Amino acid sequence: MENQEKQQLVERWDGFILKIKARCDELITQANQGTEMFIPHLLYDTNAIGNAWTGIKSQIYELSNKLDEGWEKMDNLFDKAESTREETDIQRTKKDDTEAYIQWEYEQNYILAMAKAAQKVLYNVKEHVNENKMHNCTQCGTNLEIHIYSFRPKNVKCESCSSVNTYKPDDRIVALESWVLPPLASENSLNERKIEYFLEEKFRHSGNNQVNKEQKQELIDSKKATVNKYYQFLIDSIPEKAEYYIRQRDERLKWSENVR
Amino acid sequence: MNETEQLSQLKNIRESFYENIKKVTSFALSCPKGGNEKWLQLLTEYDVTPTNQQQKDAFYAQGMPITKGALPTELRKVYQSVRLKTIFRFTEKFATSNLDFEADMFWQDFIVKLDQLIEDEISAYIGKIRQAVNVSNIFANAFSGMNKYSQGLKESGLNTKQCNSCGSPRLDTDQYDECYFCGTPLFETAKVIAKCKICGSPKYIENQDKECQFCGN
Repeated sequence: MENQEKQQLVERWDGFILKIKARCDELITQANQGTEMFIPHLLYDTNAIGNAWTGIKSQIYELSNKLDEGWEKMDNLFDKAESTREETDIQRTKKDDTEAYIQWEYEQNYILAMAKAAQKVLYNVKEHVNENKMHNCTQCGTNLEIHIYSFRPKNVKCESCSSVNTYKPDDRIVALESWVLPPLASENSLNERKIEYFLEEKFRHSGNNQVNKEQKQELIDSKKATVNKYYQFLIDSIPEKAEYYIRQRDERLKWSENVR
Repeated sequence: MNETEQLSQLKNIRESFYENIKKVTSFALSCPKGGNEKWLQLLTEYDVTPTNQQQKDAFYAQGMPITKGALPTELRKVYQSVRLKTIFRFTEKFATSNLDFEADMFWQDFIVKLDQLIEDEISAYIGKIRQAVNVSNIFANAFSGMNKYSQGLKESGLNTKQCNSCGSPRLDTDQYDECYFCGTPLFETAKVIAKCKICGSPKYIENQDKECQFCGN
């Protein structure tokens, strides 16, 4: 087949990829607009925004399927046009890069949207909680020194009468551990995650014979950097549960070494 | 029959299979939601029992919102019938003869594709008949879950474990379970089944017939 025909196929493929990327950008823009509209209505949880982004994920998944279907057709056409293996590989790489682009656009924007929502919830909680609230011993009335931003009930001894007072923190503060801190930790480790994501993509698409030890180690290190940054944020934010998060972090660090 | 003739006949069978699949799919797509009289005729043609109205209603009430087309479960049965007819056709022609290598490879390749084809076709069909969902729909739907977990939250507070009998607070001296003042268990367990009729102090099962630890009743 003539080179001109091959060129036409490449142009057709490039046009299709551009359309897919444009659709992805459009979806993400609309999702961000929706998020902006939701945020002022949030009180103490980010459930609605999480649900909406799950719906967006299914749209992204469909887009990704369209890309796969498009490639299947083009692959056949490139075969018929007698493209060499190298020529076809170049076109396949465009598909892989677009796939990575779509998935990363979703993940990055999801993290940022959830972090924005988390900031709003945090603001609402701070507005609601009275940091100067007096906490008096239920037996003798002495003012107890209590750290308001506690994430679990605590037994506090009254210095005056020695009674054990069980302090139960505000539910809104306890809930920060689910709705606010993990999204903020993800936002905090976003740069590390980006490096990890693209190294992972590179690793996944390089053939076994091209993979060298250095590449693998680079990926493992990047995974560990993301895990460390994410958990350090949680450990610093919730010191009373530091041991719990250190255990979780160490488990995740072990998993990070499992690169195949 | 030589290999070329075998291959030619197998190709005919395969082409006829794909043509039929294409034909019934386009027919199902052109139907209004739930099918019509012509669709029912097609079902009869392929020996498929039509779904009754009650089953259809249940499907439409529980399944994803769709705008047009025959019921996917009916179409699946039609596909299965087309597949079965294709296999019968193959058996009729080749039951008594062995396939040559090339023809056998060709047929095995087709059989492997047949396994997955129905799932792929049904999935593509559902994609075409379902109601298009856009970002606005997604956010409108998500709005129903707005602040679902922000209701009924409690403020911070303090409480002190007190003896049920005498009201003494549990002190911080050590992790004791019985009131230092009157000896009443501070933490009720399954063992406590009754209280003193005079003062209300709880009693263990084994102490039911004994004097109350607090008031001596």
